[in-house]
Amino acid sequence: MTALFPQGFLAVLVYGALTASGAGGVLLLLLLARDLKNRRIW
Amino acid sequence: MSEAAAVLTPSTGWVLLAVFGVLWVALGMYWGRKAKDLEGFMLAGRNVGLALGTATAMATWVTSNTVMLAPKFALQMGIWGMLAYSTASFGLFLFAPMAQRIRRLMPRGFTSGDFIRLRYGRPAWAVFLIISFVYSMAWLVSMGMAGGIVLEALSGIDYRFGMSVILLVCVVYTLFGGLYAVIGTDFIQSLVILAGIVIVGAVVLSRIDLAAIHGNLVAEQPALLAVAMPVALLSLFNNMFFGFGEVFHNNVWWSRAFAMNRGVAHKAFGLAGLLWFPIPVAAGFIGLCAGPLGINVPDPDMVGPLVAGKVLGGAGAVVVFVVVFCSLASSIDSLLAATSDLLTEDVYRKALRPKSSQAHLRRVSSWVIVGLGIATWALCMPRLGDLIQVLFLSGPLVASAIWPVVGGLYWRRAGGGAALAAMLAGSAAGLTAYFSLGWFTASLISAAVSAVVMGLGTATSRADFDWSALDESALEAAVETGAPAGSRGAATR
Repeated sequence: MTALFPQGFLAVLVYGALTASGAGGVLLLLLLARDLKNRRIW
Repeated sequence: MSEAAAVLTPSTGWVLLAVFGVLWVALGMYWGRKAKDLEGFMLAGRNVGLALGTATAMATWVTSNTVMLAPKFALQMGIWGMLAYSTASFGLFLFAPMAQRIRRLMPRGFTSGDFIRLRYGRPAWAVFLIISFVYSMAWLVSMGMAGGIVLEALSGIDYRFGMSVILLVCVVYTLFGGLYAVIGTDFIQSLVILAGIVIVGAVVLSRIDLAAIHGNLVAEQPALLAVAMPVALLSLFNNMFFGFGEVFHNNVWWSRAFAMNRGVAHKAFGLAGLLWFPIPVAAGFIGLCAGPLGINVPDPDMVGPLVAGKVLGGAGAVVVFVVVFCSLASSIDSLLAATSDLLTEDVYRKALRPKSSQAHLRRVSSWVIVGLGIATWALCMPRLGDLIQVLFLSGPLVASAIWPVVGGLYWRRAGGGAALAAMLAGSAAGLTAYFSLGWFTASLISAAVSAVVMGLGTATSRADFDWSALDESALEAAVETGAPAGSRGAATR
């Protein structure tokens, strides 16, 4: 019998990826705010 | 998929295309006003900050292939398939320190071709340019085709019209705004892509829980959950090396390294890798839902949009449409700009007309962007082949450039002969593997053969490269002021 990934692993993977993607968007906005404040956009 | 099966009406599709098309062109033209000279147009003034730098690296690496092939990988190779796609982010992580070194060694550099020419000489440079151009065109064509196919599937817009409009929009705003337009629009596109992926994923999970998906897969498709899946594991390593080759060699990434503020490049690429890593899983897991939801998938390339459309209906299809459009635009614009830089700087200026003025080169660059757009359009029109074939055929070529680039940046003893032999031997072995063993071995074998050749060539070399020879602007200044050329240290090969 082949070993299968448990449901918990799938949950961590999927919820982790969705949370990280959302957090990534927030991080980009925070970085933009910081660069705007410091006049370092480009 | 036929027009009748589309989730959106063609008129909705056209409205979305028009709204976002006009938005990108308007923003591109607005930001493009800053591109007053060639350096501004090609490298956005070399002072891009961390926010825009991170977003542009991430958005460029999120292609329509990420959004469409990650669910396909999940559908066909399960959990390992999604993780295999995520390993492409390692290319961004590893490029982070390289970007910093590139910025330091070549403060006035323009392209990856500049580096290969100065480091290894003209024969290796010529082979490198061919590899880079073939790969860039394969990437452009795969995205143009993907755009036409997805738009047709989602809204019933004819493939030829959808593909043509996407290319036209990208060509127009890149033409007017150069890298300023590309990087500016990339930031907004990053946010749209991330938001869209999270929205689609969250809504899918609200309709069917993971316990049901897992239970159904255990009963019906246990192979997708298998811990040991040799083909998927091979594809994981293959994809990782393909990603290394893509990022290390291509001018899309080098032009960003040159464009970023000196202290920002390594942080931006590292952060972009972190942001990119979860995206194939977040976008891909809906491929696993097709079976449990009882959705028939006639074309695996379309499983992502198909599941999103079925579960979310019209609203989901709109989100997928917009995410795919942003993914396409963020990569096509970057490729148009970076490939145009390569052809203008390396082929036109360095090989054909070394004494061209900046204004003349700026015009040439514009014409090259238009030419690339027309060539891509012509190659996309016949709608040949399947997406993964177009993409992965170039894999062994770019994987053969990994070690020549790494060696060139870090090993004084690496020489032009070894780099040339490594690229040729790696490409030949990888292409042979592609046709005789399968796509999932090609990049791996190419990188391995290239590593052996480059390693042996370097180990037996007596070269002692002077890093200052990579700073071409200093070399040119030395020539103009009459300083002895040897004081800058000519490249030893």
